[in-house]
Amino acid sequence: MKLLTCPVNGPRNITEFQYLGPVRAASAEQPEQLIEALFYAENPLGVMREWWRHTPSNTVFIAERHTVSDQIAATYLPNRKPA
Amino acid sequence: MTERLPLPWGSRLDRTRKIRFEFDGWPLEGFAGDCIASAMAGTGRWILSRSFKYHRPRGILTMAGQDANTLVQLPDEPNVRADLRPIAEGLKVTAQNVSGTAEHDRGAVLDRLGRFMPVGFYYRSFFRPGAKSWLKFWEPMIRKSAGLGKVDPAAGRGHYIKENLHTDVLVVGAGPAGLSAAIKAAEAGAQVLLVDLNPELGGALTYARFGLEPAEAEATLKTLREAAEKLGNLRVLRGATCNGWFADNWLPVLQGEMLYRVRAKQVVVAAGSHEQPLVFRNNDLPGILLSSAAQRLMRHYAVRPGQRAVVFAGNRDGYLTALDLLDAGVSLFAVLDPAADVSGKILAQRLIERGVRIIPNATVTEALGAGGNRHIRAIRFNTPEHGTELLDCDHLVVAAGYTPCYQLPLHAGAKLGFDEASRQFVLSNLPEAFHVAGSAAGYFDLKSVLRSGEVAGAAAAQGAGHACVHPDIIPDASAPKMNYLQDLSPHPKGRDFVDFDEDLQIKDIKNAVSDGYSELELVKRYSTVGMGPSQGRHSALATARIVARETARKVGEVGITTSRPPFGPEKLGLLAGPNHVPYRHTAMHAEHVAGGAKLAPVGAWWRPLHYAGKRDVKKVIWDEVTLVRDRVGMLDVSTLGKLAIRGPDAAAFLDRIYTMAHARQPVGRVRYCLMLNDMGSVIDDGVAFRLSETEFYVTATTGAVARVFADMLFLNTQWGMQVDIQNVTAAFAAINVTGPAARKVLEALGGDIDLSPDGFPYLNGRSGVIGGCPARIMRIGFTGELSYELHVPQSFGASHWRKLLEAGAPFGLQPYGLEASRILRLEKGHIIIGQDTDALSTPDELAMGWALSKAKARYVGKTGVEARGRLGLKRKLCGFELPEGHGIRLAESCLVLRDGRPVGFVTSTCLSPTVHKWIGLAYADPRDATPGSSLRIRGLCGKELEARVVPTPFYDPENQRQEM
Amino acid sequence: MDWLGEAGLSAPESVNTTLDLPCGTSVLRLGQQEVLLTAPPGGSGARLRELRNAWHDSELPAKGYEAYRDEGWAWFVISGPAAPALMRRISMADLRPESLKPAHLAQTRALHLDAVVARFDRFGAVSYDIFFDIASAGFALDVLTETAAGTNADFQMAALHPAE
Repeated sequence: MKLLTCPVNGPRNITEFQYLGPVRAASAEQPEQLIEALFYAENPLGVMREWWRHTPSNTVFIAERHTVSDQIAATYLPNRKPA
Repeated sequence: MTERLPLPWGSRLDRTRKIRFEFDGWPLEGFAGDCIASAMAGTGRWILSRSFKYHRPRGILTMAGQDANTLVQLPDEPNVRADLRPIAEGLKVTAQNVSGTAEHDRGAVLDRLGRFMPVGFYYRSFFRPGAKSWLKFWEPMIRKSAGLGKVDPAAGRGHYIKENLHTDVLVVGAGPAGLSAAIKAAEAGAQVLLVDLNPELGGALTYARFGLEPAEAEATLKTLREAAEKLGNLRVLRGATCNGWFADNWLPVLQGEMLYRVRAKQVVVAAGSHEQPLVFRNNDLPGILLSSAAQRLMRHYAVRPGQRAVVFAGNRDGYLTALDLLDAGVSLFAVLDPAADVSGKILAQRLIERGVRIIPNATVTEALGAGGNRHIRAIRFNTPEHGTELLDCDHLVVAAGYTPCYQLPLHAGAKLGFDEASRQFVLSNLPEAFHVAGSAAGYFDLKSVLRSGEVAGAAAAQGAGHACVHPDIIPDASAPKMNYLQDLSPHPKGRDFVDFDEDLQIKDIKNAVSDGYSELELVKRYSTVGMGPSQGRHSALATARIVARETARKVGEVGITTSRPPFGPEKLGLLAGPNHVPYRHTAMHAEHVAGGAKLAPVGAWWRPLHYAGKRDVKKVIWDEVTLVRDRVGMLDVSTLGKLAIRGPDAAAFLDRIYTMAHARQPVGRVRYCLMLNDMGSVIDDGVAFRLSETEFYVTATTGAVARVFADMLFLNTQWGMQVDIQNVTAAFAAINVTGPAARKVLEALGGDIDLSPDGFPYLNGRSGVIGGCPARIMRIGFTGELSYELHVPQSFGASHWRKLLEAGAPFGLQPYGLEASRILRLEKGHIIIGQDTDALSTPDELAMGWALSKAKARYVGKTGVEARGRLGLKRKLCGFELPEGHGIRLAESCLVLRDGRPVGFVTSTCLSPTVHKWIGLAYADPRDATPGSSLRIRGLCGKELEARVVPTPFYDPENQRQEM
Repeated sequence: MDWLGEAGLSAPESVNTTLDLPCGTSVLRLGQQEVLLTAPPGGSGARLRELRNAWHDSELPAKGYEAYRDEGWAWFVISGPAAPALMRRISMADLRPESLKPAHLAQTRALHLDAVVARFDRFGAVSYDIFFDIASAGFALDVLTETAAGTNADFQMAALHPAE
C-alpha cells in the first residue's frame, strides 16, 4: 500500500488520505474558464500537481506525482513550496 | 507401512509418535512431523488426486507446496496442499475432483475423450442440441464437475487475526541466501524479519547435497542456524508465506490464521527457484518427480521415492540426487544425460564406479504406466546411437533446470527477460529498496549463493540506514549449465503435458497459436495455460518457448504473462480478518432500543425507523404521522451534520459557499442553506444559525456533512479567509420537537429562553438553558408543524431526551422515527438530498430558483448554474397525486413517460395519512410539470396511468401551522 | 497560542508533541494553531474546568475557538508491557515504542477510525492515549476487547472516572 508523506505528520498509508483533484489553473468562477475547469483534466506524461487531504489531521496540501512511475516527488503545504 | 529410511534421514520426523489418519476411507499411519503426502508415500500410496480435465492420476511433483497435484480435501477445508499439511490424529483426507476415489475415479473415462476437447473447445461448444441446452443441460453438468475442492457451508467460523509489522529489512526465504542476507543485515544493526514457508530454517541446505560429500552443506547449515539464533534483532517467522508485494514495500505474510501486514524499508527476496519438469508423453504419471522433490522426501521424511530409479540429469543436481538415491539404498539403473560428452563430469565418474549406467545424448520420449496409468512402470528414451530403448523403473527423477521465483520481483515492477546464452530467465529493473539473492538471482554454486545473500543483506542494511561493509559477488560459472532446454516437438500420441493443472499438451499451445492467438496474454486466456493453482510455475518457460518457436520470435520477446499477487493460495477469511463493521450511535441510542425502535443503518449511523416494537408496523408509522400533526412528537436528529463556522470572515465565507445571502444575515436568524458544486448541481442543504457577528452554527445532511466539511477546508485553503471550520456533528445531540403542542412542551421544561411567538419567531434561533441544559434551539420547517430543533452537548443527550418525554407526557409527546418523518416532509413537498436530487439536479429543476441569490457576485456553482440555465430545462421536479386505490404498484424509481418514452421518474411517493391520497414528487418533462397537467406513470407492475400534477405543499399550502 | 501565552501556560514547540504543565494538565499540540488540553486521568478535572472558564472569560480577540473535544471525542488509554502488541493489531501506523517516543503523538488511524495517538507512559508502563469520534465509542470498545482477548496478554478494562 502506497505511502504518502503528509508535510505535517510524516509518511502515512495512502488510506489515511483523500484525493481532492488536480491543481487547476482554470477557475470555475470565470465564465470563460468554466468548461475547461469542469471537464478538461490535466493528463501530463510527467509530474502532476495534486491536492490531497490527510483526514485524521485535516491537513490540505499539494503533492507532486509522476504519472508514469507514480513516484511522489514532493509534498508541501500550499504557499510553502520548497525551493 | 513400507520401510522408512533410518536416521539421519527424516529430519522432520518424530518417530516416537505414530499418528493414524485416513485417505479416501483407507486407514493409514505416519509419524509426527509427516505431511499427508509423505505419510501416504511412506505406505506406498502415490496417487493424491485426479487431474482437472482428463482425471488422470497425479502424485508428488515438487514436494514443496508449489504444484496442484497435491490438492486434497479435508472435511472443513478444501484445496489443502498435502505436501505441506502435517498429519493429525484422526484426520480424514479425501481426494478432490473424483467420482469415487483417487484410486478408482469414474471420471477417468474423460482421458479417452480428449480429442473431443481441443484447446478452446468450450468457446465453440455447448450450443446444441436446442436453444436452451446450455442453461438446461450443459451448464448444470459442467458446474458439477468444475472446480476442485468443496466448501462446507456449515463449517465452523475461522478465527483470523491481522497484525501490522514494521521492520528495517524483510528477507523472504530462509535458505542459504536468505539466512546469509538476514544475518548480515542484523549484524549491521538493522531490525530484520526473516520469513520462510518451512517449519525449519535452511531451505535447500536441509535437503540438497550441493557437492560430492554432503558434509559441507551440513556444516554451513549448522553455522547459519547458530548465527541466526544469536541475533536478538533478527525475528524469524516459520511456516509463513510472503504472498505478494505491494507499493512501497508493503507485503502480506501469511502464517496459519495470522495475516501480517509488513512495511519494510528494504526487502530481500531469496525465495529460490522452481525446478522445472520435463515434457514428454505421459510426463504426469505418479512416480515421476523432480530431483528436489526426491531429496525432500528422503531427507525430510525418510521416504524412498521407490525401489528402482532412473534419473534424468539435465544438470548437476540430477547427479547429486542420484548419489542421494544410492546412499538411501535405492537401485539406480541408469542416469540419462542429454549432454553428448560426460567424460569430464566427476559426479558421473563416481556413479559409474558405484555401478550405475550413464547414458549420454539421451532424450526421454515417453513414460509407460501400470494399471490405468496409476504409476510409472517404464520409460522409453532415445539416443542417436541406439535409437529407442525401454527401461523398467518405478520412479523417474527429473532434473531439467530452474525458473527463478520471479513473482515478488515482478509484483514490484521488475522485468523478466531471457538470456539465450545462459538459458535462464533473468530479472532486471529491480526497484529501489528491493534486492534479490540466491538462485532467484541466478546463483547455484553454494559459495556464490551465500555471498549473494551477504551482498543483498549489506545493501539492504545500508539502505535502511545502517552502515555496512559491502562484499563482492562471486560469479557462478556453472549457472548456464543448470538449465536444459529440451526439444518441444509434440509427441504424435500427445499427453505430453506443458501445464499439469489445466491438462494442456504441447499441441494445445501450438493450436492456440494456429487458431490465431499469437500474443502470450491471448494464448493464456484462450488455452488457460498458467491459470491453474500453480499459476504457471512449471509451464511458463515451456509455453514461452513453444510460442516463440511458433511465431518466429525469441523467448525474451514473448516473455511471460503478468504476475500479480497473491503468490500462493490465501483464504478469504485471512483477507477479511476479524469482521468489524463500523457503527456509530447517537447519545440516545439506548433510549431508542428500550422504546422498541427498529433501527436501520444510514451510513455508519443507526437511526430509528419507527417505534413499532411488536405492533403492526404500517399502522404505527401512520400513527406517528398523526401524532405529529395532531399533538407533538420528537425525532432524534443527532446524526445531522453540524459545522461550527467562526471568525471575522465567517459570514463572508458562508456567503461564498452557499447560494443564499448570509453575509448580512441578522444575528439570531436561521436561514436555509443550499450548496452547489462547480457544475451547478445541488450537493447538500441545511440551515445556518447566526449566533453572533462572527459565529455561525450550520447544519448539513447526515450523508453529506463529511464531504461538505472537506470541501470547505479545501476551498478555504485556496481562499485564505479568516475563518475556523469545525465538524462538530458528534459533539452535539439534536432533537426535533414538532407538533401543535411543541411550544407547550418546551415551556414545561423551563429555562431562560423566551419561547413566545413574538419572542422566538419562525426561522429564528436562540441559545440558552432549557430543562437545565445548555442548548441552541432553531425554529425551522420540515414536517410542516410548529417545530423546535434542540441541540445540546451530546453528554446531555440521553437525560434531555428523558426530560422531554416527562415534560411532554401531559401533551401526548412520543418519539417518532424516520419513516414517519419522510412522510411528513413529503406532505410539505420538501426534497431530500440524494433521494429527490441526483448528480445533475440544479435548483431550477427543483423549482428552487428562489434559493439562488441574484445580488451576490459569487458563490460556488454560480457560474455553472447560470450556464446550465441558458441551456434550458430538460426536466423538472413536480408534485403529483393519485387516488388511494389507483391500482398500480407505485414506488420510487417508477418511470414517467411522454409519448411512450421515459422522460423522468418518481423520486418520492407515499399514501398520505393526512390528505388521504397518494402523493409524490417526480421528474417530468418541463411541459408536463405544471399544476393542471398530468403525468403518465408506469408502475413496477408494468401498468400505466395518468397522475394529476398539483402544486406543493400538499398540506397546509399557506404554511400557517409551522409559522405559528 | 496567543491565549496560552497570555495565561502563562507553555505549549510544546513542535506540532505532534506534548508537554505536561506543573499543575498536571497535559498540552497536546495538534496543529500550528490547535492544542488539546487534558486533565490527568482519574482526577477531578477541576483545574481543567478553571482553565476553560478562564479561556471563556478572556477578551483576547485572537484567543481562538473551542472545538468541543470534551463532547466530540472519546478517550481511551492502553497501557502495560503488552500495549505495543495490542497497538500493532489495531493500527497500521508505526507506533512502536522506538518510533513513537514519549511526549510525541501521531494523528493517524486506529480501530478503523481517525484517531490521535499520544505516548504518555502512564501508570508506570508503556502507554498510549487514543482520542477518536465519540459516536464510534461502542464500536471501538468492541474492537478493543475482541482484539485484546486475542493477544492472550490478560488485558483488563477499567474506567477513567473522575474522582467524585
